[in-house]
Amino acid sequence: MARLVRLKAWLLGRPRRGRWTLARRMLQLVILVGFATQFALNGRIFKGSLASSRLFEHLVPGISAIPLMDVWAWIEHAVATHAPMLDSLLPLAIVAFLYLFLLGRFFCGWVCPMDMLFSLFERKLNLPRYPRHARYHVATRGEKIAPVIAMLVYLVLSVALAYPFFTTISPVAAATKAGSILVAMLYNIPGATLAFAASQLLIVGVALTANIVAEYVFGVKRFWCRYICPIGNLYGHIANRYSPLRVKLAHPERCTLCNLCNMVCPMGIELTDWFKRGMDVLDYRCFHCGRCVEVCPKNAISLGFRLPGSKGPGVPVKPRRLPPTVQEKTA
Amino acid sequence: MGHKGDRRDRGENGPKSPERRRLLKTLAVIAAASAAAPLARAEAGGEAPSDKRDGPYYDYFYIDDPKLVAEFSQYGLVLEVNGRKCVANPLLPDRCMAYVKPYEEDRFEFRPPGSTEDFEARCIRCGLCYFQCHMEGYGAIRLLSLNEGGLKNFGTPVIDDHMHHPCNFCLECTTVCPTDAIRPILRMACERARREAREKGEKPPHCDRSLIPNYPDLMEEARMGIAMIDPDLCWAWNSGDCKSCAKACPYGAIVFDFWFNEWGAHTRVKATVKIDEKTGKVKVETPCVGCGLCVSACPVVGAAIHVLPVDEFVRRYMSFKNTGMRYDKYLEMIRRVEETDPQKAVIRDMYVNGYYILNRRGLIKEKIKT
Repeated sequence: MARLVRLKAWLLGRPRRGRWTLARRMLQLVILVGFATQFALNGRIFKGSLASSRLFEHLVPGISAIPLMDVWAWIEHAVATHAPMLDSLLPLAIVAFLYLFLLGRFFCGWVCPMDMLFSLFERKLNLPRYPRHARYHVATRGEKIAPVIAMLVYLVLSVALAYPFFTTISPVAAATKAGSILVAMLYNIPGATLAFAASQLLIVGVALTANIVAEYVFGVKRFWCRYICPIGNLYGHIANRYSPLRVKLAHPERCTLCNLCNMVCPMGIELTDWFKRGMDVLDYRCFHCGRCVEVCPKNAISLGFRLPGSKGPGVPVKPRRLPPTVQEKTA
Repeated sequence: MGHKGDRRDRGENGPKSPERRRLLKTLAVIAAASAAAPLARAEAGGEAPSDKRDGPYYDYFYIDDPKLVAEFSQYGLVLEVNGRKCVANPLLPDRCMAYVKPYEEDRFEFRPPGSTEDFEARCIRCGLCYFQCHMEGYGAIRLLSLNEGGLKNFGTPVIDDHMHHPCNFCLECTTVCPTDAIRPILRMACERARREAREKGEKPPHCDRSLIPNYPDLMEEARMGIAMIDPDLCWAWNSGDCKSCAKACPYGAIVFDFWFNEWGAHTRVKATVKIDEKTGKVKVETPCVGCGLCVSACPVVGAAIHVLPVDEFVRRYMSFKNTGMRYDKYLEMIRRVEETDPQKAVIRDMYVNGYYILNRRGLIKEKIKT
């Protein structure tokens, strides 16, 4: 029995995971395993990788396939060739519409397989007594600009080297490709070489190692996602300001500013700062993982949709005064 | 009750928990075992490294056996090169007979059909062409790993094993590429054919690769390389009746032409190299797209027909092997000798080349399609 309890605690973590995390992991696993086993289904459901894919090919009558393409890959290859490829606008438009107009930085928390890996090896609680850069905090200007500078560096490198730089070394697509190649190797499919799988896994490993070192040596949470990877930061910087999907401050009157949401946020957002201003969480870092929603003891926040123009309930949450102590009463 | 057990019962699952360590250890063993199984298989299979552009692409017909030396001396065909005896070319008695190396030592990497010039810039390394190629069942495309292509070519597709996994020129990879790094040749041909059919008021044609030869510019764009036959190694150029390459070719007689006489069904890939004398620009006119189906069909072990990149094709065409002649001039010479000098033709076909093909290289009779 004690063993079971321990297993459950290990699986669910502390504070316990809830339905959003479960849903997120399911979607991530379906995507990763779907891409990995695409040979088995002959590409009928998933084909390709997270850089570009074709879904439901020849499965739905009337639609040959749903083509998808990573927005950052499109930008980089357009820059590298000095000419945007106008033929490939359909796959781009589908993905851009989904993330830029509907879901915000949804990709990082719900689709990207690296999130699963990163969260296996990270501190589950972010305590207020940690030093400032390691604690949850409001993003500073420099911190916000850093990923934009990284993006510019990638674009300059793409032009200088004449190939899409970050897309080539992106661990996001590499994880799904490594999965497909490893499965293909088991079935002896020609062209699936160990060297290729190893190269892809090397990239995944480098990203994971960088993230772990940053977290456990320097205390920076999600270093890779916040500073290095342009894919999610693109959606975060542009779309999270108005994204309809967001962590909503549904019941401002219930919030007690207990800090629990801050402590579990994997990206180190200070959610209470937004709540004190009476706003939903519109931080560029938020990838809608719903971890804060799960731990909220008062059910004050929820993950859901709001009209794009709306900033939140508009009712600021005020720090509550504790009920008077016995000494105060008698005084 | 040991102290350790007490601690575990209290559920202190620190990072040094023996339970977790055991689980991780087991997982590591499983991972290592599953990684090692295909590794062992790959080691056993053994893939030869490619790219042999630097050295000579041909082998001399060396003879060390004194019996053979005596036999070929009857025709006055023994020369000495590099301290070893070799058989002279009956048509060029002062030069050794040379044969193009087996395919495994003379293979190149090709981009999929319809690839653009700035392929590395356009390709976003999504792997769709690779997956499509394998789902079609051909398995020709392979993605380059870091140690093969460097960072610049990492994850880009190549076709490099025509012997075992030739491209079948189905052009399905061109239909899935999202960035047009592989140009949509098939779609373009279909659109043109449909437009033409509409103008003529005919039924729209079925959309497949057979439309491509109607449009030479698309054929040019789809070209990966050009096939070249070594007339000294080819069974059909040495009294045989073969035509296997032409039968395997997706475009058959559009690409190959034949010249029949009693010395065999001389098979040739239609190709002419034209050099603009003013600008010095080299232009190759050929319907061959370089898919490599002919390579795997060739009955000669190591294949007498190899697919070459265009620049390598031009290099070999201008000076073929050690003959010091142009490729087409050499073919002309063989033809002239066969018409005028039957004795020399017999020595060339039956004694020299026939001996080399049958005894040194070998002939897979099952592959011969006449």
